Amino acid sequence: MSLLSIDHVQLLDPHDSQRLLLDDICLQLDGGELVAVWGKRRSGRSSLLRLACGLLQPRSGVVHFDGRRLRGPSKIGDGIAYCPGGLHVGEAWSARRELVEVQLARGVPRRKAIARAHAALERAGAQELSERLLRSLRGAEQVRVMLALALTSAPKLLLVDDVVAGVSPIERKPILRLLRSLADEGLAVLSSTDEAPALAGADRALTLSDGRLHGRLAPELAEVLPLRASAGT
Amino acid sequence: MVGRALRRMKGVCRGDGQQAHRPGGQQARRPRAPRPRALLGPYALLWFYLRWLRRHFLAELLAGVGVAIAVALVFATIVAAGSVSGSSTQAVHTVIGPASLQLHARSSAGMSDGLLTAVQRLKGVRSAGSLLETTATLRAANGRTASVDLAGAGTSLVFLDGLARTIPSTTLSAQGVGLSARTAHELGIGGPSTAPPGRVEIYVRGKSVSAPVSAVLGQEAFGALSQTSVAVMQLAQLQQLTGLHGRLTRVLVQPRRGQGAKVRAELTRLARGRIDVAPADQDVKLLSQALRPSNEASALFATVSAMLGVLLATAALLLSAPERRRMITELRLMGMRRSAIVQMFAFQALLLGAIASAIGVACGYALSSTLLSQSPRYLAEAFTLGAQTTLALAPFLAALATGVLSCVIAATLPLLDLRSNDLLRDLQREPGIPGNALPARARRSQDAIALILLVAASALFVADRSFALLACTLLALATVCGVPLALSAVIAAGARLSRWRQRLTALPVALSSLQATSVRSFALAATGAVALFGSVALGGARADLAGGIAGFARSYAADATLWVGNRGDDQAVVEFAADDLPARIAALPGVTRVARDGGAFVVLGGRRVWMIARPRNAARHVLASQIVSGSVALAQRRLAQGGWVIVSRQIAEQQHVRIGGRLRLPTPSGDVSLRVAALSSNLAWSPGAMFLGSAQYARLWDASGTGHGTTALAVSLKPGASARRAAARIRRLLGPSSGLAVRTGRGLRASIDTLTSEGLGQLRQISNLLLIAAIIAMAAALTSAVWQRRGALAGLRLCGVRPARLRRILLTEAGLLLSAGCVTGALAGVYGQAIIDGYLGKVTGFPIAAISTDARALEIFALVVIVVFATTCAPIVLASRVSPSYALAD
Repeated sequence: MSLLSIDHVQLLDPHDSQRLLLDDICLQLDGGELVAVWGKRRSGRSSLLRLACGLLQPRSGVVHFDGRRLRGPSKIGDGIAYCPGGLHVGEAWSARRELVEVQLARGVPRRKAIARAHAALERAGAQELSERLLRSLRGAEQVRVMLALALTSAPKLLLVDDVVAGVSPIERKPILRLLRSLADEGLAVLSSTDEAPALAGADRALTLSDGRLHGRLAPELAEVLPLRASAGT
Repeated sequence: MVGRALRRMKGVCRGDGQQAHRPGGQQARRPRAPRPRALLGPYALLWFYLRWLRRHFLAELLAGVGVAIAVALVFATIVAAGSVSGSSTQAVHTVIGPASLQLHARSSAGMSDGLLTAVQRLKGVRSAGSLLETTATLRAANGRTASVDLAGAGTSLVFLDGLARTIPSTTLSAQGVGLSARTAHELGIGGPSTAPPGRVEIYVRGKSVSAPVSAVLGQEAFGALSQTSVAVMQLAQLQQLTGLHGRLTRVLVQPRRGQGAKVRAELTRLARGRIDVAPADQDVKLLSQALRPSNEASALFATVSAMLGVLLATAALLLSAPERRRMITELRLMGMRRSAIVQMFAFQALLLGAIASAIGVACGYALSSTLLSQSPRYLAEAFTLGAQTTLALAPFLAALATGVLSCVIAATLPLLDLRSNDLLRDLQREPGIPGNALPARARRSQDAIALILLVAASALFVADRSFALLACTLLALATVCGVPLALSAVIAAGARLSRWRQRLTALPVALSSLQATSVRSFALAATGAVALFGSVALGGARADLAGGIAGFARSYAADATLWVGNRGDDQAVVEFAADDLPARIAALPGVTRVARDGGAFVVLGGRRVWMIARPRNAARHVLASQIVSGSVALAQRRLAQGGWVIVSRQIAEQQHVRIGGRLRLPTPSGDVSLRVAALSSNLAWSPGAMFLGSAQYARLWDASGTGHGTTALAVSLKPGASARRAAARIRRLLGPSSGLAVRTGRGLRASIDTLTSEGLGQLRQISNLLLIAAIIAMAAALTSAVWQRRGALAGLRLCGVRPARLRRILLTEAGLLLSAGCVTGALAGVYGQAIIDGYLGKVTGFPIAAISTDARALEIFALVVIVVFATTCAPIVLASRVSPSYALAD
């Protein structure tokens, strides 16, 4: 069984219980894979990622992670790391301190937490940002630190929502390269975006429209930058 | 919020930018950007407040509760204190009617009724009436008892146009006793039932007699007296019942117009220095003096409570200060003018203050007539006391001003930010969470202010104990200002501990959270500090006072094993005919000695002083415990010699006399000059007390030759003799017709304790209410703070932090805050307790127990911490289980 397995999932719109947001979604993802999902605004991209980490529960169908059925967000921090767009933690201290404190909050002893934070910041290419106030970071800086935060939990699956949102075009490539390299190191990465360039480097690129996941790229994305592999579910 | 508020602002200012096109082909002006008005309209003000309430309802509610508590305490105490003296004054005027002068006997044995005729014959006298008054105990058939002022009124009182005019004639018929509505209620007699009231047993001056109840006198017949503990009967009947044939205690005199001075001189001549000539309403002033210490003590307690309520409200409003600061920044960025922001904040504060004050006044009124209702029963032997709640405008205005002012001060503190020209930059530059950080400079200033206030409070208290209220206020403010220092110390200690124990992973996170939100932490810890300060200081001071009085009661009752006296006469001031009773009791098995004690109330220097006369060595314990200046042994020897007196320190100060000095004492035998042997406490009798040798008392007080003079028999038993059996033998000896009661020392002590604890009831209720308010305030503040943080907690959950870990972190944080705040408050509270003790000692003259006698501060600390911790556990558990999605929704 794949690391992440989404089988025939249906999801109702949390804001409109009459509307089916996702319908018959099937997706398999293994370690070392980088899969990018493209969709327009309100197409359900973020909901798909939240479904994948157990934050949302499907109306029908099942989600398995690491061979076990996901029934809630219990695997976040324990195999799954979820990076929503923007800051969702700490706005008081420096990036390094925030990373250490989140780990302390998880119960990691201080020395180990410091070492992990250091390594994660370095891996995410954010070591020069470590003493900057987290709330002062913008664009790519913020994404790198959030990725570093995700890496501190040593995840198997990394879910990255709106990966290049707010990132300047010149800074996108390094971020996408970072995701690619993380996948190359064996991490399963599922990212979402509404911008075609953000599909670059993905093993597979999927389109989410009308609540369904399509293996083929939308025509407007046909000329998108070289993918590592062809599209397909 | 900014976007919507901006649209709203534009809506408010719609008139400014709508002149682009004009009819008649006139050249259109270029539209100008709307310029915000200097002040907002009423709808905009309401809209902003409703929006604020929607987001911060809990914090606003908390602040409102704090203000309402403060207002309720101020209002209730003022109303309750005024009610006793107000309704008692009405009662006095109901009795005296138009009389302006009186002759008042100096002994309970009274004066000859021939004096009434002599007074009526005086030329300048328009009319005069007579009364015989004594303290009695009534017992109904159902077994319920009531202590009353039993008054015998003659027909002369009808001519005076006073009390007797409105009383039904049957009430004063022979063999009947009329009861005030309150007395009847106490006895369970009357009410809506049409059944005849029946009979009551009257215990008076050592006798017992059964009498029919002739009437229950309500407001229409008895006026203000209906709400006092009074019974009335025909004068001749009472004279016969008490054995005071031909005796009166008061003659009320109404002089003719312009003849007052002349009549007074004539009365003085008639009195021959053995009877008091005084204004007819003298009791009003005497009662006012007697109530002053307890009223002042209550006022201090209430003021300190109100101040603490205001501080609690301020701390509650401080919880939302970060949001208010952010709002100010946003509004300034939107272009709202400073004046409009000030107006908006003032409006919100006024509205909150007015609503909270109105609720506080309503609660205060309910408190004044229930929990805080004064029970001055300990004064009932000397005064006729009313118990109706009377209202006036002044307390209402004072309470309203307290509430509104506290809200305005607390809610407008964030307006200090308006001084800056670059709010956003200033807010972002601060360490910690923007708007929630207390700058280091502000912390240092607070430390310095705390130190200055502490020194000032100490200096004031040392200079004069009358400044206790001001000293307490400064100390409370010092406590609040000292909280950041305590918090820093706790954080530093916690940090050292977490560095030492690497596995304590929740501790550093909790510490970091406290540092990041230092304004919130300060507000929470300050709430705890203020709450503990008040509870420890007021609760402790009350306990010390109660302890001191209990010590007096113990020593007062310890001077004999058994006490024989009139029922309900704890102070032994009502005489009875002892005749050969002491000798007969002394002959009983197990009895070694029977001492005749005397006692009376003496009017001295505008005070109704409690005078105690015991034979040599019969006041050993009470003197040993209550003498505050002078030698106990020497004072006892001098009392036995005669010519000496021991007086309360307050009386000595008022009379400007020291030990060895001379004091003029009015007695039934005329004024005598006595030397002061020692100074004592007030013996829990607020007007003051004095001790006289029993031989001298007998000479001075038995001048009428009635042979009475005895007010209690102090019975000592042989070692090992059973007090219970001896009491039973004495009761058999007294027989069923006796009105005397036999009590053990322990029984007398319990009775005094009950009375005094009723007297201190108001202080107890204030300190209890404050403790409850403190617990509610702390629990609510912590709950509110935890609840407001669900967004941040959800963010941590999104990072994989488990609910159990969040619980541990939140509990650690709550524990740190509680310990920082409560320890500061408890320490300052003990200091405050010492200040209040000093003040109470000076104002009341009561014996005060030493602070070190119990661990009350520790008990209160433990109680508050445990209850608050337990109360906050539920919200902490709920908040820790917040869905991670909450962070995304936010």
